[in-house]
Amino acid sequence: MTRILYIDDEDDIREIAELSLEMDAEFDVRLCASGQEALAVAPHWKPALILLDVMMPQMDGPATLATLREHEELRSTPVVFITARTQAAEREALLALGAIGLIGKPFDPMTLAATVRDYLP
Amino acid sequence: MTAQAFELLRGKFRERATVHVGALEQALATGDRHTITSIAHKLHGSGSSFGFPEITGYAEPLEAAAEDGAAGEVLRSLAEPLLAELKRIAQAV
Repeated sequence: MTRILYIDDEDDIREIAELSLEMDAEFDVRLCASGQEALAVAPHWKPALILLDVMMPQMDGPATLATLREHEELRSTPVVFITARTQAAEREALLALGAIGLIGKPFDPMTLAATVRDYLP
Repeated sequence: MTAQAFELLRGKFRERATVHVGALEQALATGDRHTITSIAHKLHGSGSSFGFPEITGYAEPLEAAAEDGAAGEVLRSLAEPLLAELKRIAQAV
């Protein structure tokens, strides 16, 4: 099973993301509602890939990514930002932070799993 | 995802539409730009995922305008179709 960690402060988005990702029978999905929660979960659960919402209160996506990278076991974990930001400059800035890709919001729940699968080695 | 599961999620989105209407109307009345932006961002980023592309379509320009500091009357004008669609969706529950 491939562990996928999905981090988003919005509970309805987490719900649909979970159902969408579980369309891939190989995915073991875990949800976190904040960057802080993810920091408590990820070092121990060791996901194969992290899907990270950008706009979250208290600790946003970029701040969460930077803090996740302070953990040796997560330094190489691929991270994909989930964002509704469509401006090219904003997207480039997010990628420059070290994410391997971006998935736009709103995402298509019927293809999210396949899109995520494409990011896996 | 089964069709049944998706419909359950759509139902939850419909139920929350009334809450969004109230919060958005209140924010527009008080000029609470932060809340307007927050609600518009949430709906922009989720509407289509739940099978309500019009919600995404109406929320995006409202979010952009709120972030750009548009005047209250502009925000109210942009919010009108979004509020109308949210009310329509809520009535379908």
